[in-house]
Amino acid sequence: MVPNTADTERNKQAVRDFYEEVFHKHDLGAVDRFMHDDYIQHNADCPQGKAGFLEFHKGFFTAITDFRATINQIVAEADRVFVYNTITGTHTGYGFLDYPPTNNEIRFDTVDMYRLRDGKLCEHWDVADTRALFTQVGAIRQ
Amino acid sequence: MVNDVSTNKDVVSRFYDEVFIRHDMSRIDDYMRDDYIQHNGDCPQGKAGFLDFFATIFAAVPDFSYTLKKMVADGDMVVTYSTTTGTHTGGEWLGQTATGNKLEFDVVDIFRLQDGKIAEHWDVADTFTFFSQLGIVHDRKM
Repeated sequence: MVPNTADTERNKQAVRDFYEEVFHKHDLGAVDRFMHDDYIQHNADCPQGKAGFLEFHKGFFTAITDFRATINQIVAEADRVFVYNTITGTHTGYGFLDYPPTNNEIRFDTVDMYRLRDGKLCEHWDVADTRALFTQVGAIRQ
Repeated sequence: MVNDVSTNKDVVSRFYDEVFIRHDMSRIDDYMRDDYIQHNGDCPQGKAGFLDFFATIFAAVPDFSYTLKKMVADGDMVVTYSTTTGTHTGGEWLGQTATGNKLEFDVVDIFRLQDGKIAEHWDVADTFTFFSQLGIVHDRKM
């Protein structure tokens, strides 16, 4: 099937807007515009669905109030958009899983991989530099 | 210059099969530029650096292999999501002597192609899983 270029460009822009509204401005109210309710989540730390995404990120943004995901590369084909990004912030609060605040600088790379349906996010996979993340939040027993 | 997305995907697929599955570097000149730009901090620059790096890895993990899960291509970029597997039975890797441990961790590789050859590379790996399997880091506090 030949990918529809217009859909690919529309999908990329939707993902850029999602990153701006949610991962920069922390506007969780905007998530409805970007995500299907039955969002399938493959990251084992994050609960299922749009509801699970909202719960997890409410905690993340409480723990790291200056949380920011900066897009390094965005690549799209057919119904997929892959985003190579770097997450930064300061771990000053509770809310990221069960880890108490460390006041550490957080900085780690991640690739988020999305499938879209009718211009909205419906499925997510990711790979993150988990050693950096879990060291920074004080989770690793050395 | 027009980027041929299907050619780019083909180059990366063949590169993966020959190098990461068959450990055959004999046709590397067909797939990779000499001045290959490497953004993985553990791997030295250029095609020469790539060859050295993987000589060490294949010695440490003789059954090193990749299973490709997803590939997307867009303009001059190709992104792959794969699982690396193998057993650490050979030499030292990243300062860790061989333990006989099984490795199985996810990686996203991001390639930029230029004139049909791999020119630049970034990656993100599930480093907590990888370093735990190597024996370098220990339990994550849950």
